[in-house]
Amino acid sequence: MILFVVWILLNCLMLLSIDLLSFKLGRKAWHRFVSTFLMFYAQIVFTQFFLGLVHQLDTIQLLVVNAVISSLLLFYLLRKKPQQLLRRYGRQWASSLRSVTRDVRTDWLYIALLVVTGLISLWTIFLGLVFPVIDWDGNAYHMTYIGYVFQNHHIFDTFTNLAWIAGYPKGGEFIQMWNVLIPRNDILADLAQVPFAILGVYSLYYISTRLGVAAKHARFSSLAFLLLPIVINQMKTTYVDVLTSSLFIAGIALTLKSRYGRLDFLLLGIICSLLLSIKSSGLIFVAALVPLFLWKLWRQNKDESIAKLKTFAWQLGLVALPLIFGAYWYVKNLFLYGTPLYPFGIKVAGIQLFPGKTFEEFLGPVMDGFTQLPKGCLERVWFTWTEQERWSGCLYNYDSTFAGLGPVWFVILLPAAILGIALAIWKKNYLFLYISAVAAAVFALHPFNFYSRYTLFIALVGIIGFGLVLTHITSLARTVSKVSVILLALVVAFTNLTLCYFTVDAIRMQWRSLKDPALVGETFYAVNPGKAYIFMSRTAEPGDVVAYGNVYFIYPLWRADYKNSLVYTPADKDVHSWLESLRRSNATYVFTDKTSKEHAAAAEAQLKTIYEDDLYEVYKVE
Amino acid sequence: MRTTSMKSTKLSKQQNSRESILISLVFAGLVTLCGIAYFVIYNTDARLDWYKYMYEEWGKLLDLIVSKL
Repeated sequence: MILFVVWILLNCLMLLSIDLLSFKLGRKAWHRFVSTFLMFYAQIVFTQFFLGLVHQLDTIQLLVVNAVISSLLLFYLLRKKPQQLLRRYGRQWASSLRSVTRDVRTDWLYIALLVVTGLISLWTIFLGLVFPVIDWDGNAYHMTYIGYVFQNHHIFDTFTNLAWIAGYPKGGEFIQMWNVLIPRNDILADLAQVPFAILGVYSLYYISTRLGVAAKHARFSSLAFLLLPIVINQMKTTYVDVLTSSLFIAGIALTLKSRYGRLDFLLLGIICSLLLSIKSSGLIFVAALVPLFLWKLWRQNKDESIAKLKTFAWQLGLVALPLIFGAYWYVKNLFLYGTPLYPFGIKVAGIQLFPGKTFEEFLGPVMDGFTQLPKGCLERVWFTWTEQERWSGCLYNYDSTFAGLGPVWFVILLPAAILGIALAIWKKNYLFLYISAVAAAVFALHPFNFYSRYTLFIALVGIIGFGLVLTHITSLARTVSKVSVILLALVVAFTNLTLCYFTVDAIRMQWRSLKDPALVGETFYAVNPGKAYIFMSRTAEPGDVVAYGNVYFIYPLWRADYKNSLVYTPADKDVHSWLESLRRSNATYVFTDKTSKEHAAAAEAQLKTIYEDDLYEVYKVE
Repeated sequence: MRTTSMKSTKLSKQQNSRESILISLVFAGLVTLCGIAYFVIYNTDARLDWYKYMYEEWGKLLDLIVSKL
């Protein structure tokens, strides 16, 4: 609890110092928000990265390094006339709040939508606080990476069974890790995407106003981002798709600035670095940001003489500096595994450039296996957007293959996107046409664009388009449209109550288990990841070593205080060498999937069973 | 001169209003079509079952809240 309070105080110190810097640099409104937001996450990510490189990534070190950096920054900013600066800073905050309240006070339809989206988000946050991490990929690799950082204090690859833990870029995990390493618990790990959803909303508002949408309508339409079921469902997970799309939208917003300052170059570099480091498809998003950025940069520098080429190089250098973090994962993969996109290979025009299956070859057969999915590309998009089938029994979940982007998207935003584009052609709004073309191109290039979590960014065309439509229609039509969105928002709230897994009975039982931990065996966690994991994490004592083989969920094998260790010991040779590897790693327990080779080896070696269910068997090594 | 300017403003307002009505009608048409597609044509049994299930869950949640009050 003390560490949790310290972590909150540290966050406050970091935010204050960085926001004061943004304020002192004269940034206003969205530009100040985005610079504070991105510099805050850059500090988090880079301090973890640096400490991880030197094998010092642990609670105290991370706490001290960030406290020192922020204190020094604060000291530097307040070295001259501190009271005057703080007074101006406070007055600026107060005046911003007053102006927001004044604008919103009489906008009842906006207030109504804000209440609905606010309640949906608060409900999701409540579920995130009450329930542990239960998402599939989280317990398999996102959180497992964080568990290994706790164990090893470095960020390098660990010998394990999942290529996703070793190879996949880890920017998302670095962001989640911040919520875990200092508090030393994972309560907030699966809420790490919430701030990024806010980044998405505010960036959409900014883009809309830059493209000629009245502020009143931009603020209303941008809230629709929080009404996409995939955003709501993913906010309580350790997945990284909301993070990716929000950063992409913020990147577009940043490139729209009429004249870039030094900080803008740096911020753009941070966005690109994070996009690259979250997942390999970040390469496509970064590539999509480049043309507009280069065009703007050329316009900014076209009147400069050749002698000023140095300035140009300096500007590009500022973008490239933060990219060290983003590029690290690809360079590391190239050296260690022979392909920068490991676990994927790269094939261009049928020629294999780097070994391994491409993303399409990897996921394609899985998708083709779903008989409900149509075969054609457009048919698939139509099938998911019209939401005709359930996935794992639910209409929506965080990884729904069959659900689209919800009724607000299909009924309001999709028509608004079409009409918005027509209006942009008519009114010669080339910037909106360009942004729509970029979004459409990325959407078209994505091999699985029907998969809403990969392509939720496409909502930006509908949201900005809706803002444009609202600006151009009659006041009666505007009121009807806004009321329709509010009604559809209620449908979204109605259909996303459980986020697929958290039924009212599950919530009740989870709540009771928080008061009485003995009841945890009756909670949803006992179903997913399973009772065997509850047994293992509770049986392992501090210092114990749990050996595992071919299992998918690895993270739940750690104790809640991370004081035991995990070791991967595959039984890929004979039983004797496997037993030898168990002895060498000082394994205390062996956790096996019943279909694995390790299970067969443990049975052959006649290890003592201490737990068994339908799926797993746990052995004591004596 | 002033009369000409007023006339032109009036004309422009009329044009804007006609334009707004046209855009409103097109938008209403598109929204209606998409609304029918989503809620009528593709309102499959799978989706209806989900709505029924959610209705039950909301009922349980309200019961829970009422019991705690």
